[in-house]
Parts: sequence; structure tokens; C-alpha cells
Amino acid sequence: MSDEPRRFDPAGLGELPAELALGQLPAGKHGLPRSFVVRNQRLRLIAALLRVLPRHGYVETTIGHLTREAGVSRSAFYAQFSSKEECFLETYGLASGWLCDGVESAVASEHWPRRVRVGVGEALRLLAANPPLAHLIAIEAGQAGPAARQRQRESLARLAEILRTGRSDRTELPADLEELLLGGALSVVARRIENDRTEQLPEIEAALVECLLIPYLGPTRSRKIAA
Amino acid sequence: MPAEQETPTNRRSRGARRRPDQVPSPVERIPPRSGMSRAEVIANQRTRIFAGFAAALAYHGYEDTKVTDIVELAGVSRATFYERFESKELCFDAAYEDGVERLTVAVEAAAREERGWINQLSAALRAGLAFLAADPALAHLLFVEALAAARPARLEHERSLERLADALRGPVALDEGTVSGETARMLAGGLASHLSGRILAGEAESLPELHDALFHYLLAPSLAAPRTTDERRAAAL
Repeated sequence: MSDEPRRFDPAGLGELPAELALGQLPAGKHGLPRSFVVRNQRLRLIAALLRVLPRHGYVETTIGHLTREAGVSRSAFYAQFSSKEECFLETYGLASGWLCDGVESAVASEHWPRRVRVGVGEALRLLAANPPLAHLIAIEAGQAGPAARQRQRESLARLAEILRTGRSDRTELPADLEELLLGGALSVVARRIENDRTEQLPEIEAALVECLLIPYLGPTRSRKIAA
Repeated sequence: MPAEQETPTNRRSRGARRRPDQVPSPVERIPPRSGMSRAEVIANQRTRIFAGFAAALAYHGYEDTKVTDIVELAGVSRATFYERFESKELCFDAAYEDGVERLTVAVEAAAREERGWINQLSAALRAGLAFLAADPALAHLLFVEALAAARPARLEHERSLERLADALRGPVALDEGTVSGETARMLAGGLASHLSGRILAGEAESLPELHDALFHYLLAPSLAAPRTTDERRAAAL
């Protein structure tokens, strides 16, 4: 775990250096290979979606907003994505995948239940350091249609799986209890973000960790681990 | 070839939220000259418009639902619709408020039948799930579309969650004290988001089956150690 939380940069997910991947290419003949141009436009549209969503919200965001922000033509957008929803789903997949990867590597050497504290703490720090990503994951994904909601459920299930590793089974509790609790945590996070308190997200670490552990450890031990 | 006339069930929808498996059924109408007073007729029209809206939404999604779809399913004229509501948006807000109100009444009535917070919680949960299962279109409106709609409805949804959170805190200290406001809000949010996911997956009718799992979930932070439902009840009574 580093002191400085990492930044989510869609360009860093491609094979290209960031400055090339996201910069607007010179018009006309630049001699760059076609595949490069296409990849560049795709990543620029994804980065544009991340920047535009907090301003307009998913429902009101138009293809025009995205193409203006990205500096690509409308036809270039449709060469990349069939719809706003498709662009959203790809962006969400990259963003949630990045967040889960970050949590997974932070907890790699931790054992349950400390694993829960470290993982939740890392997730909150990554969200706090990346407000557009936090907005996308916690708020917009709930409003972008059934496919987005389904992806959100899958992400919560993956996060739950990461956090529960090493915990003994409790057959008397519902199998998806952690997903339910994480869904609740996500709604608390969303409310903070809507109230412009994204940067203070790490403040709720102890409260969330306690909630996630109580069913398994009881209040006294949970509080001790969360504190 | 003559163009087929568009109706709410055959109109092509661009909407990503379209649920072709949920073909809307028209709302039950009142026979003419039924002896209803003016006020009763207006109340009945409102109810039908809300039901028509919910039915259209479940099929088309919010963005693609048109006033035409609503009035056709509700069996009222366009003029009547606009007499009651200025716009689709305001009608949605009213329909949401009406739905939450009816859900709340059902839940509170069930809770009043029981003694002890734990039993009340269980009964309230059972009644809420049954209410939503009986009207999947309304469930979709309340738990799916309200989250996706424009801001006022979402703020309203947030207020509903606060009310639910207050109810979940419970009147009594169980084991080591009551649930904190933050925890209760988290429980409420998790419950709503889980229901939303199930309803979106077209499983509204089987919501009552979730009672035991959700009951465990809602009690999780209140009670110390994991126990069976019976032990939890015994401990709390």
C-alpha cells in the first residue's frame, strides 16, 4: 500500500504511453498507423465520458457532449461504440476492474478479518483520489440501465469474493450477505459523493468495516478490528 | 405495405431498459355512469394514470415512455392527463410518492399486528415483499426507474431510504446498543439496492422468497453472534 493513492487513467490501461494515447492527434496526414488512431479515439472517448458524467449525469449526457469533450467526430464515435450505453459499459468495466484489482493487490498478504479493513480502506482511498471514477462507479452505474446494474452486481460479487477469502463458512447466514452489505456500503458512499464529500470518503472506513464484520464476529471484536 | 399502427405494445422502443417480457396490460376501467362523485372519478383517474404509467415504464423504460402510452393503458384521454399533471416528469413524481405511501401503509399495518421489534421487523419485511410481488410494475417504478429518473425523484428516493433507516434502528437496544445512523442507512441502502437488482432481473414476483435471507441481513448488525432465526428471536424477546 503506497501513501499516495494511484490515479485511474484510462490511457494507462492501453498499450500506449499516456500522452500519446489521450492527446488529440493532428488533423490530416500524420502518418500514424490506423490501429493507433482508432485506439486513441476509443480511449479519448472513454476519458471524455468520465469527465462529462459528473457535469451532466448519464441520462442527460449526449453523444455531442462526448465527441466535443474528446475532440472526435460523431462518425468516429459511432465507429467505436454503437451507443452511449455501450461506451458507458466499457468505461464502467475498466473503472470497476481497476478498482477491484487495486483492492485485490492491497489485501494480497492480509488474512481475514484484517483483510476486510485493509480492502475497504484501500477502496475508499482509491475512490477519494479519483472523483470522476467514484462518481461513475457509485452513482451513474445505478442509473445507466439494466446492463449497467448487472455489471454493478457482478463487481460487488467480485469485491465480496476478494474480501471473504480466508473466512470460514457460516451456513446459518445468507450466502450473499457480504454482497448485500457491500451494496449498502456503496449506497452510503454514493450519498457522500452526491453531497460533495468524495475526498472525505476514508472517514467512513471504520463504520463500514464494522458493519461488514459484525455478522461474523459480533460487535466487540468487529469494533476492535475496525478501529 | 401499410404501416402498422403503433400501440404501447408494438411500438418499437429504442430504450435500453425495454422489457419485452413484460407486456403491459391495460388498467381496469370504471363503467360509465357508475354513480361515482366527481371527487371519486378524479381519484380513480389518478390511480389509473399511475397504474398505466407503471405498466408503460416496465415495458419501455422512463425515457421512452410517452404520454400516449400512459393514457392508452390508463384508459383516459390526453386532455384528462394534462388536466391532472403538467408533464410526464411531474406525473412520475406523483406516482412515486403515491407508490411509496401505499407501500408504507402496508408495511406499517403489518408491523402494528405484532409485538416486539424483531417480530415487527419480520412482519413488515414480509408485507413489503408481498406488496411488491403483487404489483411488479409498481415495484419496477419504485426501485428501478426512481433511481434512474431526473433529480427530484432521486432525492425523494433518498428521503424514503432515510425513513426506512429510521425504522431499522429500532426502539430498543439489542445486545450492545442500537444501530448507529450510518449503519442503519447502510442497511436501508443495501436492502433497496438488492431489491432493485432482483426486480430488474424480472424476479419481482418471487421477492417473498427472500424474506429469511433479508431478515438475517437486517438483523446482522443488531445482534452479536450469528445464530439461527429462532435463537435470534428468543434472544430479542
